[in-house]
Amino acid sequence: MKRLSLILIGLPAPASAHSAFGDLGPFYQGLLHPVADPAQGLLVAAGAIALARQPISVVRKAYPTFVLAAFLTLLIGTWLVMPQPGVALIALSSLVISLGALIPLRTPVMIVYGVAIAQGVLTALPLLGSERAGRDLGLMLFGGTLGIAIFTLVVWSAAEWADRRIFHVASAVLAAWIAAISLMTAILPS
Amino acid sequence: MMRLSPNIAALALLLWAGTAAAHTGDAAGAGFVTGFMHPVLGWDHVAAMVAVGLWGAFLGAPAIWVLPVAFPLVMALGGALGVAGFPLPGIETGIAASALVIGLAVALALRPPIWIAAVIVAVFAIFHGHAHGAEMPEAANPVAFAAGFVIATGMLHLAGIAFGLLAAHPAGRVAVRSMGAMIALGGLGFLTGAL
Repeated sequence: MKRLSLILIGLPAPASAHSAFGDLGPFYQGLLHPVADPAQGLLVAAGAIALARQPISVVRKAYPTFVLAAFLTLLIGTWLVMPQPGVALIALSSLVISLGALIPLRTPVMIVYGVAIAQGVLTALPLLGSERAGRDLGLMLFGGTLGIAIFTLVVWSAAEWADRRIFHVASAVLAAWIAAISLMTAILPS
Repeated sequence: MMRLSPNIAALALLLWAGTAAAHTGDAAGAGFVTGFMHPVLGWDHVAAMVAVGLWGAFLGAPAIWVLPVAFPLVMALGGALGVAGFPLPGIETGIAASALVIGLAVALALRPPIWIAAVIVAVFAIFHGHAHGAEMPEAANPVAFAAGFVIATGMLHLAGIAFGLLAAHPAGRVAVRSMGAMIALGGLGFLTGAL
């Protein structure tokens, strides 16, 4: 028995608290989708940095428009079958938005709204690939909207803070990084 | 004291074997961390990226932000060529030459017009991007791999800029130019194969 105990002591298995991406449940699956799906995260980050390059008066209107567009897309997606955008399309959108953020011109408000709506729709669509239904679907949609809203707010505030506290063009540098990642992602073979 | 029989000891040691990894975790199975470490673990990349930041800070505005913005954008074009499998000759030579040329520019305190500095940096960025991009399609998560190496490259630029800001002081100027000279020497070493 002592010998067996010694062998067992010398044979420790790795202790895993939980699997990295198990079934987190519908709410957290939606909430963490922008982090778990790099392409979606890229698009959200591009939009957030583009917001950071805009005056706060524009952000106050564009941000709710973006979140509302994402929510309505998710809501409509529960009734209608929506197309799933490919990674290349998401990356191209992210590239256009981040390159637009680099142009130091005041963007007309209508264009900002248009981009916010288009980006909201594109950001929400990858969430609709899930096969959940009923209450689970509702929870995932709520979590998804919240995740998109929070992730955007976090990246926007970080870029805004970096602009104010570190260097006044920090958000432009971040936009260049996002554009670079988007360009390489867009050309990846499917 | 209890004595353990050799058979039991041998069995215990056999059962206590470490995990056998099928691959080294280089490109295959790679994600953000591997992408991030790709430029950081290559001294030729590190030297050139720090030199870009040093030169940007040395030249002052607008180069201090034009170079770190232009570099990743053009590097992405090189990366896209690498992803597409487009052959680019002399990649390692181009990377080594970038450390030599930009290091020399800092050491000699060269102050060309901003567009010339941007073109020099952009040309070399193609080589760096191609080297990173060529490994991207093999990665398990190519998007995260790309994010890793773009962010690492940007951080190295920022490190160079932070050091280059010392050039605002007379003693710091000597330190920055000396750093440029060391990078140029390193570049020469990479170019000749001595390093």
